[in-house]
Amino acid sequence: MQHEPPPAQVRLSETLIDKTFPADFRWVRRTVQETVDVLSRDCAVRPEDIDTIQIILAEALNNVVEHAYPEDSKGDVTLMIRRRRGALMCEIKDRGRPMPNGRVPVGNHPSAKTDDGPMPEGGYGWFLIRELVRDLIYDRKNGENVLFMTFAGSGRPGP
Amino acid sequence: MLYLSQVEFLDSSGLGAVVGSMKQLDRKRKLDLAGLTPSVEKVFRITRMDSVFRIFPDTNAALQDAAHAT
Repeated sequence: MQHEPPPAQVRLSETLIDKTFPADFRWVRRTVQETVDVLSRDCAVRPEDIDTIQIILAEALNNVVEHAYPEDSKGDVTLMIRRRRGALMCEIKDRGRPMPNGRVPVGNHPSAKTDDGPMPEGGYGWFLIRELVRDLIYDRKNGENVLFMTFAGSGRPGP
Repeated sequence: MLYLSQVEFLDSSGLGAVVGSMKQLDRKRKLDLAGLTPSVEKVFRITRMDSVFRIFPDTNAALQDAAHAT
């Protein structure tokens, strides 16, 4: 029996987004919107998953802008999104400060800390990311932060 | 009431701003939200803010609720 080559859409890995841009809020907003546009044209990604991905990317990239680089020396950030066996995976890289204690923040719900106190106005970012991603891996190598995430339910099932 | 139908996207700092405006009200007053787009609704739901704010599909629903309450 002869094996047929796999059809184009089940190629092992396909890069959908690969962008490097200055770590500031305006560039983050622009890049997240471009990413949403690319994914929206991609009929394999469901609209509700695009909402989720938009939230995750905005939070993760804004964190780089706010926390990785000092105010006076903003560097670059790289966003890469690939599809592998039908699942979307994302890598965000920057050359800023490492995460505190070399780990991704725990991301508890902010009100867990204050109990009866006033409702917190910040600290929801990592909570949102952790609630919405499927996998989350942080690595620091060669002076670079690498945040790797996979998105739940995105893309068609693998072959 | 905040009518958010024109807000396509809200991140955690935007959410913090909505919480902040609620806290500026005196304790007897409530801040209701209406017309949330799916993405904004998701941010409120995931952070469990849908238990802090009353969320209405649109202004009509919110006004009807207010009429029933008085």
